[in-house]
Amino acid sequence: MDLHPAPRADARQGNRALLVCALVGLVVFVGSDALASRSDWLWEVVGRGASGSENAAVMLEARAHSLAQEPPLAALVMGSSVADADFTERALAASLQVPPARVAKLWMPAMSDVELAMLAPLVRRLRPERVIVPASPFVMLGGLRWDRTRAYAPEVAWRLFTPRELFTDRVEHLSRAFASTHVIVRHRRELRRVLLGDHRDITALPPQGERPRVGEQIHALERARQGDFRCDTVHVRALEIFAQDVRATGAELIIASAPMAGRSLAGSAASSERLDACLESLSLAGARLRLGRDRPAFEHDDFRDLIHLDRAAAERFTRWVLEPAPNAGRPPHAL
Amino acid sequence: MRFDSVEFWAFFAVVLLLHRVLPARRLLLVLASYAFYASWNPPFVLLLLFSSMLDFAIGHRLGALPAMDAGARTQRRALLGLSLLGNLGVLFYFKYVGFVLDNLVAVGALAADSAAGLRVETVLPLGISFYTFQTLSYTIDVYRGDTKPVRSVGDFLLFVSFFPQLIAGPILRAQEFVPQIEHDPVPDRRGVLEGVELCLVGLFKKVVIADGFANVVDMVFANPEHFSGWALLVGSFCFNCQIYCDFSGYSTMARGLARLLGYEIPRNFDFPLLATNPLEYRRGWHVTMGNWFRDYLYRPLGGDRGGEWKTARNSMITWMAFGLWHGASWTFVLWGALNGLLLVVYRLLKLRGLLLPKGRLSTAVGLLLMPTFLSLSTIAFRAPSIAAAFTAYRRIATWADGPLAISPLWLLALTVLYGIHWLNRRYQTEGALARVGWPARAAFITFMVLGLAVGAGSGAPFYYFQF
Repeated sequence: MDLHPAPRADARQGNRALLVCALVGLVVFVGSDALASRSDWLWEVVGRGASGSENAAVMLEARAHSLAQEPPLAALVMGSSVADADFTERALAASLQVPPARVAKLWMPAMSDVELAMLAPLVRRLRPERVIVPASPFVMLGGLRWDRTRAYAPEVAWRLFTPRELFTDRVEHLSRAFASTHVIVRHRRELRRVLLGDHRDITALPPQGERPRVGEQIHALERARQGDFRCDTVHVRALEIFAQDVRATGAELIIASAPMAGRSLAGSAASSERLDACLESLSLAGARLRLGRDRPAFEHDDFRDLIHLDRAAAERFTRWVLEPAPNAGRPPHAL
Repeated sequence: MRFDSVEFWAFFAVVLLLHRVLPARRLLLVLASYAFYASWNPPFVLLLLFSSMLDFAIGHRLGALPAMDAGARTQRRALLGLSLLGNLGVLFYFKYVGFVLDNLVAVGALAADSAAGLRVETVLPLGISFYTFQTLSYTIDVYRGDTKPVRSVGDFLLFVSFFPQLIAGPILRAQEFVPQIEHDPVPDRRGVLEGVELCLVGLFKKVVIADGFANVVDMVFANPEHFSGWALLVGSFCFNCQIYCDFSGYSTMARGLARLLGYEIPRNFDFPLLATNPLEYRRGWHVTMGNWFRDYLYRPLGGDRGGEWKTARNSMITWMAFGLWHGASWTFVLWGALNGLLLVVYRLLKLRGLLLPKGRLSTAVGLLLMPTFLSLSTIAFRAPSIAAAFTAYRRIATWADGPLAISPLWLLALTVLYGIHWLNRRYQTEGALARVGWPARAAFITFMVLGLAVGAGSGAPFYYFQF
């Protein structure tokens, strides 16, 4: 072993070699991402590898990729299973007088508003004319659980979280930020599952954390008490950021208070009023609000369960959301 | 900050940049090492500091006492005893108190209530088994006159806390490493290329191969009663490869990181998967720790100087202590005992001329038997309890049927891994990045970056971090 320090010239050569290695790595990383994210084959494989609610984010992204190949959408509905249940493509297309192909829904079971905000870059890619988001009392419930958060965008996280929150959860942020920069890193599980076979046999599927379930939100609502609904949650902040990002794309954002069955506290008139007040107090960058107090009444029979409308009621709700705003001509909220 | 985390690589990039820019490189490395350790559990930094300062002070004092003077000899022994007591006492408190109390309760020497009263629930400080043995080796070496006391406290702090190897080795010896610190090195082109290669290969071993195998190993060992004897046998091979790639991946990265900082630290593995006899395995697996036990336990016990029986006894004691070093559990002692027993039997057969003569046949037989034995012995290492280990052994021995099977593709994966391992040894591929041209380097980096992007697995923690 040579114990003498490298002469300055040798050290300079070493630094140069390190720089070249880093550059080669960077070019490969960036180049492979650029190639892969434009590849229809990759998205087809990823779509095949994803299944069930645990891969909902993957399926959502794959669907967004295919939508990006089509002409811009007239309306894009985003949110949780409520977005899927409470809106119908037929009513959307009829209300907007466009072909059904020009409306779409991008949803994930139990999607939180933090996840919604993290998906804002997709809106930038799709450039829809309007984005519709159902709002429910969930936005005022609870904090953030990383094991339930399936989407991440560093530029959103940077604005959504305080420096203290970013530092406290730095491991989570750094690893998610890294994964979000490369499409293969993000979808390697699905790729391996398709390329190597069933995960129990061959792929290195990581131990999955407990995944959000559709019924979970319903249970959360059933357990919630009046004091649990607050207008200062991370999800409320996320909704504001999402509104700003949609505004930046030039699309109109419609936030519609979704009806809840009256059997729970969340479905009560008091909760609906509280949600209205909360939405009105936010800086939503000119989003059009469709508030609970203006909404037609929905009876118990209109619901499949506590939070999801049946099809007929969903048609009515969709049409109401797209009616001309009652406050048209007045300045938008909280501009 | 784990070596396979984005957080660590961001940290290392900053350290590397500062290392090239700032003149006070040694101070930077001490601060970086302590910051690295503090990122796990800040209060335990004090423990690291205590251990370092204790041995620095004792080493310094030992150096000042004449070795031949009778009065000084007593003092020197007392100082060595103080170092052993201080370091092993801390290690015992954090790692073995609960184990001893549980066993005292089990044999009836303590009532369960009184044991519960004595037990203090503590978190095991990360890397304590490694840095404790490293500082101890320094004091013992100074006591024996094998090394001189380190003059600079900063250099000694860096010797004990050097972050690439702080958490899981390789265990350094002062006489190898302190002179490097004193020379304050910066790597040349060759050193950088070797460092890049080692970092990428180590990371690949850990996050692609070891974490890939962890998938099937976790499944098999969580429910051994549901798997057939054949599946358990394959599972034990997979675990043997998992633990090798996990630990050697860490050690390889440690060497690579050190190379990028200008330092050279010893190899911890010398193709142990291809060992054809227990001696080769002993020399190839966790080399620095094996050498530690050889130099500070096996040889002081008498080594192989006192005849067959004493040599066998010393081997058994050393291997069982090595097993117990891994963790406070009888499963580790069992693993050590199995390995010790194999070594004893091998030596006896060798002494009596009952082994096959050296040649292709003996190599082939060794290549068949050793990995099988090693894989079977790792069941004791992996099983959550002695009972679970014996369940697995019984099912393998009786070739039991089970409702769950393992995909044959895992056998293919094992074959490929052993094949690559053999090629690496045959062609001594380590360091190749510094010997080839830029097109080949770029191809290697491309393969590694894409392999890591697609293949990175479960993110399981490094297996040896628990020790």
